[in-house]
Amino acid sequence: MKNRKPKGLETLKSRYAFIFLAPWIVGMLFFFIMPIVQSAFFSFSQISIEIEGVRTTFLGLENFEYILFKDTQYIDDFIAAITDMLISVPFILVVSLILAVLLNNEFRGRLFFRSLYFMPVIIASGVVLDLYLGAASSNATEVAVNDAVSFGMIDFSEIFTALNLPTAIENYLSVALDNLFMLVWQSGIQIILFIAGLQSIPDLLYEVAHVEGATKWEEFWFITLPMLGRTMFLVIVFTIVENITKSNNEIIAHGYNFFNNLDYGRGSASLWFYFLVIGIIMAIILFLYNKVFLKRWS
Amino acid sequence: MLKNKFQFNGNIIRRKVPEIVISLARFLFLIIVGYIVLYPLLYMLVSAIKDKEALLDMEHIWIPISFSFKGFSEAFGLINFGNALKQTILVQVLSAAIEVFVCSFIAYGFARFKFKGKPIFTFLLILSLLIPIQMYSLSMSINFRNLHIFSTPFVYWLPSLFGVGIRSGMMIFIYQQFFIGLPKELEDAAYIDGAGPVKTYFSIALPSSSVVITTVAVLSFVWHWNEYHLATLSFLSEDAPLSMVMNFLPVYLQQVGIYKGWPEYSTLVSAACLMFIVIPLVLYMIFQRKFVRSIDRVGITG
Repeated sequence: MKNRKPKGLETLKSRYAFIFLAPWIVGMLFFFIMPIVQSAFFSFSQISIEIEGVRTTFLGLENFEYILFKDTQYIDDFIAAITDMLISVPFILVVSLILAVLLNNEFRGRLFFRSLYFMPVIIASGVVLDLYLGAASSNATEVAVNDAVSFGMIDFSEIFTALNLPTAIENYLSVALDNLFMLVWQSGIQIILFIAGLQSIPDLLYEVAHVEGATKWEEFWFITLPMLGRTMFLVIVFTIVENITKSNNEIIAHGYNFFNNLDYGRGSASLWFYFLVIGIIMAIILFLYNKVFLKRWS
Repeated sequence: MLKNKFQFNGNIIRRKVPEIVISLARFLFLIIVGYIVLYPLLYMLVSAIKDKEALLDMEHIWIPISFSFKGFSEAFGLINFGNALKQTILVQVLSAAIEVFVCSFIAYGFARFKFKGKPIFTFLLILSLLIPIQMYSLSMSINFRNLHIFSTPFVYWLPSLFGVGIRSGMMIFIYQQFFIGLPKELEDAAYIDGAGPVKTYFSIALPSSSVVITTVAVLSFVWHWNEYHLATLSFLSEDAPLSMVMNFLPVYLQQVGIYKGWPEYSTLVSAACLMFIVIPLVLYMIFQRKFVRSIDRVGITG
């Protein structure tokens, strides 16, 4: 009897879980899995939407052949989108981690700065940002915007040359600085997630490190970073997803061009190909992250 | 204890000076980044109130020589602000409210129970975080046509009701992390008193999650407010919520003969953008203290 009772409770509890999960499972089936399978099917077909419904003709790999070999713009857009991802994701990660660590400290005006930095989360939607950038760069005040980006007085390229940085790093930094507004504006959620993660690190660890005589720098590398493992995972995933789905992403724009011309098959194919490649890249990053990074610290 | 040690070694100056330098450097850095954050908003504000003359005046960029609020009234009519706002509140804000509630319920199931196939469901949850809505919004819109709810609020409400709305995966994940960190004892006590799991959830877990609800509510509200992919594919232009109207703003401007690159273009776009963000911004100003505090206590376990 004693052995059976907990077991019975466990199965009962297992059944309880589905009370909570039932709506989600139904929803996933109808509003996630089905549409995705459907959209995969679209990428192999020709679609025409008519009054009586959707008509599809199976084409095989024709759509993919078209975008990869006949559409001269696609590969260029593809490379541009990937380059953008490789530049902005690390930058956003580093900036938001630095800001989160700074904002996590106790100092006067902390609340003010926190609310200030989260503000982009409230207003930085793709729509506003696109329109704003479009409006800003198209009028006569373009010069002013560019001046402000480089803070008017500092010419960053000269600093880089003076520092004798390798060309690759120099190029990276100058592209990142050119897009400074965009990148900082995209860091809001990441800061929130990092702060939530930082708060869950027990103070005890820092106290021990302090007694042992560790510097802030060592504390960061040996406590903060390893303890952020799961948060970091979430932030990396989130940043990549944000980056590949923003509306000024070249491939999204490319795919939506097809949609606007009612060419849903090719549009789906161009998105699918892109997201598959991103999926593979992401899988590699997360695999390496899990294997190398987390293992090394634990 | 620690202080005594430092005094004994005579290290107090060596410890204090770098501290001041560090806090000054930190302050400077925060100010610079703060400037970057605020810049676009200020720029928008200034462009929106500039009149034609001021826009062409290159010498006074920040303080216009002459200004007018005509941009706002023109933009107001152009985007049909009243109607679009009504749609946004009815469709998107209500959907956000549904999502905040439903995701908590689902996340509780994920966080508290062991069940068959949990790894598979968790994998699906992560997948729904990863796969962007652009990938399947088209087939969603076709399904909405088949369900005869095309261009009705149900386009947003229905997925939210099933916990698969706009970024619901993220919301479930945040809630789940919170519930995992919540002490179990109270709920166990409720079970012993004979409460069922649903009653336990409503009487104990839900009331103790006000902190995480704040975070999720803010994020859900903002993301719904700004969502326009699904909207663009699932609404007719007369039922369009604000985000969709904003997406089509360049087209509307072209229709009234204002093209990109003209001075009026930047005024009208800036004015419309400000009108679009003013409500979330004001709400944020009101709730920011609560929101900022709540983030501290959500706790994503490392």
